[in-house]
Amino acid sequence: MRAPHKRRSAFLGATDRMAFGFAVDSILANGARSVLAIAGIVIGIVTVVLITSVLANAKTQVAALFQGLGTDNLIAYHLSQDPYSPPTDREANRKPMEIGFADVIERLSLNVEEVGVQLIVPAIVNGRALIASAGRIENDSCFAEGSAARTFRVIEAPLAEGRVFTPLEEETGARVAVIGASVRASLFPGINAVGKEIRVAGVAFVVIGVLAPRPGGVFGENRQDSVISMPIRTVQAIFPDARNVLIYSKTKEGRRQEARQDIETILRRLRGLAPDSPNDFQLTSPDQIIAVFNQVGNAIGAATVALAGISLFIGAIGIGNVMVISVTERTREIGIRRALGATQASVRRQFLIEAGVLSGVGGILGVLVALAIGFLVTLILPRYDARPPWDAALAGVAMSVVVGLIAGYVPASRAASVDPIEALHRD
Amino acid sequence: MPSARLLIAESFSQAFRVVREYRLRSALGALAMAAAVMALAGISTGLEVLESFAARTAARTIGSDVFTVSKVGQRGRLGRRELARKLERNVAISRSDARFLDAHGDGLVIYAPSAQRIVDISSVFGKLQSVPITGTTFAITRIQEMALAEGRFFSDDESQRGEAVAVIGEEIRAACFPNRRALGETLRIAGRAFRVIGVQEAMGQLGGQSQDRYVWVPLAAFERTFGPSASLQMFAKSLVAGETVPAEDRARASLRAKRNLYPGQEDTFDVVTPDAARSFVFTLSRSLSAASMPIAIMSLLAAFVVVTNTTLVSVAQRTREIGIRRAVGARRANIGGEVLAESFIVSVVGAIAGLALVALLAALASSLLGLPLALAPATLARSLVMASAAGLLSGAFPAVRAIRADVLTSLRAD
Repeated sequence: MRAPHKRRSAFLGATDRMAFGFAVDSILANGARSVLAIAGIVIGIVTVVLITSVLANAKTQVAALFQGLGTDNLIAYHLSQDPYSPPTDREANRKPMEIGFADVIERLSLNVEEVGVQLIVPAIVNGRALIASAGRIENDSCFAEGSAARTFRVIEAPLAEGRVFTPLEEETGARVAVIGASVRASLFPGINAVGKEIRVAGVAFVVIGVLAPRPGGVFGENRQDSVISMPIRTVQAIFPDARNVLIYSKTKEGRRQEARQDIETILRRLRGLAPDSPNDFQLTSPDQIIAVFNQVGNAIGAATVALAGISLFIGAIGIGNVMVISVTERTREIGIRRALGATQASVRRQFLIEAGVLSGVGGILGVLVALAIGFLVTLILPRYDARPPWDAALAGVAMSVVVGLIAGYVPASRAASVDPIEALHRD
Repeated sequence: MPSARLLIAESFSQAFRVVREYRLRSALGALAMAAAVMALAGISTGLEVLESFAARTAARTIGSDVFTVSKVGQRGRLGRRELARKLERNVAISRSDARFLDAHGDGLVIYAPSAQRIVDISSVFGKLQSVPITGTTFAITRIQEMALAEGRFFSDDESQRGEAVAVIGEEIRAACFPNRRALGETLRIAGRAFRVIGVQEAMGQLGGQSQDRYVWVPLAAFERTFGPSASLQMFAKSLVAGETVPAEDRARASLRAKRNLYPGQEDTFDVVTPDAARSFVFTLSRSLSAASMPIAIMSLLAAFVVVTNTTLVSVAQRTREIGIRRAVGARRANIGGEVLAESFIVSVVGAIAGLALVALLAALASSLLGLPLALAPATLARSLVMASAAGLLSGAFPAVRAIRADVLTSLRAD
């Protein structure tokens, strides 16, 4: 004889193993019914796991995208929009930053290590569309920017091939270009790009370097990979329409706050702001941008997961229903077990285990199906990474068991409260 | 066919009996369907609200029979090459173009030439940065609904003489004339004094842009202030009720004639229909719907499985009863119809409960939040149809099982 408390302390004692056996027997005895109950949970888990995976992966990608701008960097721009969107009415009259501001910040702030600068070339330049071509291949989804050589260092964009601009090239406005990974892939498929000629809006440049693919992106696309960079003087000479300037200040370790204050003060002075007027520029860090994205993303995510949760809820109803039926059908059997000395608790446990097994099997199958669909979707549409991360998969199984236990609780309690004498009277 | 009608009536009365007898089980099936229908109808209701709200706001600013004639319209929607081509080829709308169009409206179209500039404005009491100033003519009041909270719009006479008068949006009034009457006060636009003669009713936001941040002045006064515009934008309205096509054709024909374009030669201007102005919200709503509908469909699928299961159990439990009825002459069709009717009833009852809950929540939200939330009849009908279809389908497998069961074996079942 074992003491009851000892039995309760073990995760699955002898009685529970027996109950487990009963559960499997009962599930197998009612094939179609059990299969359908499991199918309900499978549908719910597949939906929840897939949605969570897509959201989680998108979030990771977005974070990587903005961290790719340099985690220690403070980015100054005159609009709250990104550099390729038109300004809102409110900000339409703001003056762009000037190239020279970068040097002033680097010289005056002791909390800044190095300052990079980019001059954005608009999509329509000199009345022509910004189209890059190499030989007969064209690319009209690229972007062009003037960049100081040190900018690549500041934004941590390593080279895959070739080199960046030399001081001489920068000084003389040489027609040389460093291209992003996507530009290289589309214009120079399978061949060496360095040393080749590339035409941008009709002007010929020599490719001297190729950047390594940047991490992250919104649904797998990082716009930085589509950028063609040229020396700033070159852009100023060839594309006079280019006026928008981005300034990247790499802050010294642990001095982000001080650096921010320095840069703000310097920019306010340089832009001639009166002491009482608000900033007419944006000074952001990748963390801040990620935080804004996450805020929006979390709200959308919560709504979507809640919606997906409805399927799981319905799956749980299915489990509850099957359990109710199971208890009703086996009232006599319960009566016999109770008459032979089974406690209420052990009867309840038996039915809870049955519900747990049903929903657990549903959960495992659901996660497997979600994994399969996730990999298939990612294979067909590589931009939408739907592969469930391992924690989402584990959470899916755990969630299904919990949901099943909740759904099985009421039927199990019903079973436990069966009066043995009355049950034995039944036919 | 009377016999078919009888069969259906009998099936339903039998099914109702079964549903009532096994209340708990049927209720759980109905609950599953209710949850799925709530997901479906909830999404549609939310998106319809978004669209109708946008349409209403848009109709207040730009009517549905309004279109524009300009050098290049819809810049943001064009591809890079297309935009570059149009910028190069299209010709600016000049004052003489505007006059020509106006003279050849022929009762089909009415035009209001307009130009816009974004500048800082101020009054003695306050100032506001980066405000779009629109120079236009009196005709704009016949094209666009100009609901004024106070004062009036400038008259035809004032617009022809180019009087320095201005009609301002609510946001401008609040910033430049806080806590005071704006009418008759002076507003400074690019250094010039304009007398405020009207204030627009507050309109709120559309697509993230405030609709109350506008200043309207006579076009002639605008050009005196900012110099002649490089290109005018012609707001136009069809005078044929409910139809913009003849009006757009007329506008196109007039300007082509004025510009001596040969047949087959491309237009050197853009005529943009009003849909474009509203399409932002519709695109958003469509993509939201595309993302969320599959998730709702999954819940319908789950509900389908649950109802199939309840019906299946019902058939299994009544094996003996079904056997007896078959033995005393019930036909297969009777049994099948009965099973189908049962799953149908469970689903439809669930759907009605779900829809009632959605309608209730919508009513509650609309009274609490002041949103125009309501369950649209189309959504209601669609959800009901989907739920009944799912209900009939989920009865199919159990019905086949019931029909196929051997009568003698069934009779032996306990």
